[in-house]
Amino acid sequence: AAQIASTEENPAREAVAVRTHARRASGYSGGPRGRPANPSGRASLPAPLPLFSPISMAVGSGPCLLAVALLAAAWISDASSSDKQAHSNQQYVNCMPCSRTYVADAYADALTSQLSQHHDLTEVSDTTDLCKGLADELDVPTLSEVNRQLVGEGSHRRLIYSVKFGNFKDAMIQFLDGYDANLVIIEKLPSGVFADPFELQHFVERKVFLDVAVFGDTNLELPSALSNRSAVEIHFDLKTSTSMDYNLVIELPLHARYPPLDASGYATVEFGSPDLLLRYRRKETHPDPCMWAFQNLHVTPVEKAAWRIPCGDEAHTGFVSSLTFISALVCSMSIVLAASLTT
Amino acid sequence: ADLLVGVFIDDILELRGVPARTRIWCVVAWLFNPFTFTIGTRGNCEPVVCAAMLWILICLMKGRVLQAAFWYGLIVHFRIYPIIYAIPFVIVLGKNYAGPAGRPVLTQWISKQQLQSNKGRENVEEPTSLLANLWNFLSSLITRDTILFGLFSGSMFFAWTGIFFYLYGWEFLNEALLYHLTRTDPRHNFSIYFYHIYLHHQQGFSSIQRLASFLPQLIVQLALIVRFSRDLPFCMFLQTVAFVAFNKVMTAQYFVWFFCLLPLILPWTGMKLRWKGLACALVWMGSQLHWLMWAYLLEFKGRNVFVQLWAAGIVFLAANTFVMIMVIRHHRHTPLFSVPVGPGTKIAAKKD
Repeated sequence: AAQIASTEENPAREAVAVRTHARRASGYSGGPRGRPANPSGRASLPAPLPLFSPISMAVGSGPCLLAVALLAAAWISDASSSDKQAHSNQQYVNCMPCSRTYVADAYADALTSQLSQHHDLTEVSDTTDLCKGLADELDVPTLSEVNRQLVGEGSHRRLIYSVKFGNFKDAMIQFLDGYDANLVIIEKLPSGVFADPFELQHFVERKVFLDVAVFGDTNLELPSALSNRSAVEIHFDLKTSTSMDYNLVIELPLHARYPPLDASGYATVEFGSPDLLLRYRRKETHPDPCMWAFQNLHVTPVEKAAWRIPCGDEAHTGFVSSLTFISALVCSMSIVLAASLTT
Repeated sequence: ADLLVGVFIDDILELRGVPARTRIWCVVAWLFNPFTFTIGTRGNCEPVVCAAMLWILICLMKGRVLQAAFWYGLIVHFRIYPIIYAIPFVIVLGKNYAGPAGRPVLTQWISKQQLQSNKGRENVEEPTSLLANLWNFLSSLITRDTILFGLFSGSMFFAWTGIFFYLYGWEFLNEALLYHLTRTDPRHNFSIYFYHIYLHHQQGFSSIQRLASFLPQLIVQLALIVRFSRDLPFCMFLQTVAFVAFNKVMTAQYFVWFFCLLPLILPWTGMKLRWKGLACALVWMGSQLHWLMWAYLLEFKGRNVFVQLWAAGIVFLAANTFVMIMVIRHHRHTPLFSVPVGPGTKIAAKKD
């Protein structure tokens, strides 16, 4: 909590990177850092983690950042204390009511400055008793490898995730027999890149993804200097992965905005690390209330993806503006002349 | 709507006495125009606006002023650009609109052969002289028809705006109308202004810049209206081409706006397809393809070709200007409505 509070001074962008690291440092009580979770299920996830980082990075202005940081810090210290209480001998698994479709909506809430998600999150942590049951004797799938690559050229490219599960095939089949499981990928897009929600909806219609949502600025037109960041959440049904031998390949189409002007003529946009979660619940008996259990799939940080986008050069302003107006004037005068001279 | 536009083109030309053979070719120029059917099949509402505009023209030609006003108010609410035709409509509805029978008399199409033989009798009106008596001109604009048209179309526009404002509130007003006041389109498009807008998007725009980009557009529109408004379809066509060419944002769908009016002026042009007509078409299409090539390199290959793309936009504007000037120079100016000079004559009198 102390680490988090100290980062509130920084501008939002730097705060993202710092908070991400703060998250990793303060986070995993009992879980190994940077390695896939122990199959026996000991690795646990403190409640706020998938929700916290979106909050932190969404807020741009200083005072707002401060307020959110303080709130989040207070909430985290709250949660981690309850976490410590619950942790002792039992599994601690993060839970979410089935009514909440998306994990990352806290991000959307933060963008609209609704800090009411504070209540949602405490609500979640109260129901950890129910979650505990879910975590017992569980052989939750783990990841052995995640690759992410930016493929394509120009302003429209695709981010391709290659996800390999570490469990044996039988273990996977057994798990999927008893549980509905989705892979949740949350990709926080850098400034200058956006996802088209309409395009992604087609993927859902064609059943490539189970569900997809885009949070944040989805304006397709504005250049990045005039727009805000966004995040994409993809739900992928693991049942469909049986044919692929549990090695998934997920494609996310992305588009580039016009970057701010730069003398070099190109701007480079770098992607942060995605969040990968496993969301599961028991199939047959639907406990009342219905809850999804979450497991953060610890992965080695994926390789950096960078996108080089052409941008305008400020040095051109002089001759571009003057020649534009001059040619408009010349053309308009020629038309007026031609019109006046007709007989 | 595309098919409806074809039907209306045929109607309008028939009303003006164009023979069937020529009419068919004019309708073909719309129905088989690759630009229009491509835009239409990808799902676009522009042909709806075109159909409405042609229907308004038909109503005016048949003397149904109220119906024309009704559709005009509705269509300006639907798409704002037809507002540029407001002044020509008012001018045409002026003093010499209705003939002795109360309905307007349409100037019939005369073939070139007849034109040669009729050379002695002035049967082709000159464009309005720029130095015409201003007071006469302005007073001729205040008639029952113009006032009716203006008031009714205006109230239609406000009524529809009011209905949708009641249904959707400020969101409607912002998206439909107010957006156009503050929109900036820095993404690449055919317009020559796109790079200028992109280079300035972080600093904002001064009023001088806004005015400077608006001025050429305004000057051209006024000049065309003053010169050609009596020949209404021709005026509408030129105004639309100029409006699209000088606009701050230009996309391919805007071309449909003037392609629906092109068949209406074809019977009166002195340009033959070989070689002047073809030259115009090739120059226009060629400069467009040139622009598209640079746009492809920028968007799909990620190469920084902003300056070349901007230059291609200027070349395209020059091509548009060239086509406009060619069309103006080869057009046989014929007013839409004529006033019979005396009983039994078929000659269209000179106006003004």
